[in-house]
Amino acid sequence: MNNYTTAFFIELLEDLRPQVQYLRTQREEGITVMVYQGAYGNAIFIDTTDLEDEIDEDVAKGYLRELGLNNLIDNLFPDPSKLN
Amino acid sequence: MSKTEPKVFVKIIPENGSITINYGFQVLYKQKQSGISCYLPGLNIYFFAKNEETMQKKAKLMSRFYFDHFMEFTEKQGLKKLVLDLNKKGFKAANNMTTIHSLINNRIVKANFKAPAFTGHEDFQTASAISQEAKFAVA
Repeated sequence: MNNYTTAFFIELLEDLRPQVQYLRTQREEGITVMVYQGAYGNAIFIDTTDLEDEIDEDVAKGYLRELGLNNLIDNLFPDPSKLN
Repeated sequence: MSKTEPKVFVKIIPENGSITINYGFQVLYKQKQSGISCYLPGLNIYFFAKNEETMQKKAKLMSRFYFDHFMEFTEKQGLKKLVLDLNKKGFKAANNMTTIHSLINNRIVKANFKAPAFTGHEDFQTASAISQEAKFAVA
């Protein structure tokens, strides 16, 4: 269990510009997605429908991998077995 | 919700001067305490849903947003960029190189790109799966 919200995650991406670039926000049928361009030029679709919800670890790790930010995975989601 | 065979593909169908894109996508999902973590293999889209109904809705919309990115929001040569992105993600058509060459040179040919067997991260290798299909026309 982590304490990061989707809003925190989006703020983190804002701090990582220009490595990660915001492209647009798309809303349809009550679902909101922010589209970013990652380090490899690909588009990443981040579900921001519930900004204050805690972000699921599997989903956040997936976003980070797609964004080309693998180095942040261990920082944000350290392996509990490797902690003191 | 029943478990079905993997079915991830993108068909490009030229029809009377327009193009129809017919695509199949799969949702790999894992039940968590507070909801369901989901992954669309091939398209490499992740999201979280509070229940199965929301999961289905988000899967449908987020896969469509992927195609919108190229066909609606990419100013020039959206189809070319879509085809190149599918290739980068490991999708392959019959006579792959010839098909890609035709499509990126604005010669619209019928194509059926199929996703590789499993393109996802190990986090989702043991997840449950459902498959869906959708299509839309491009002017």
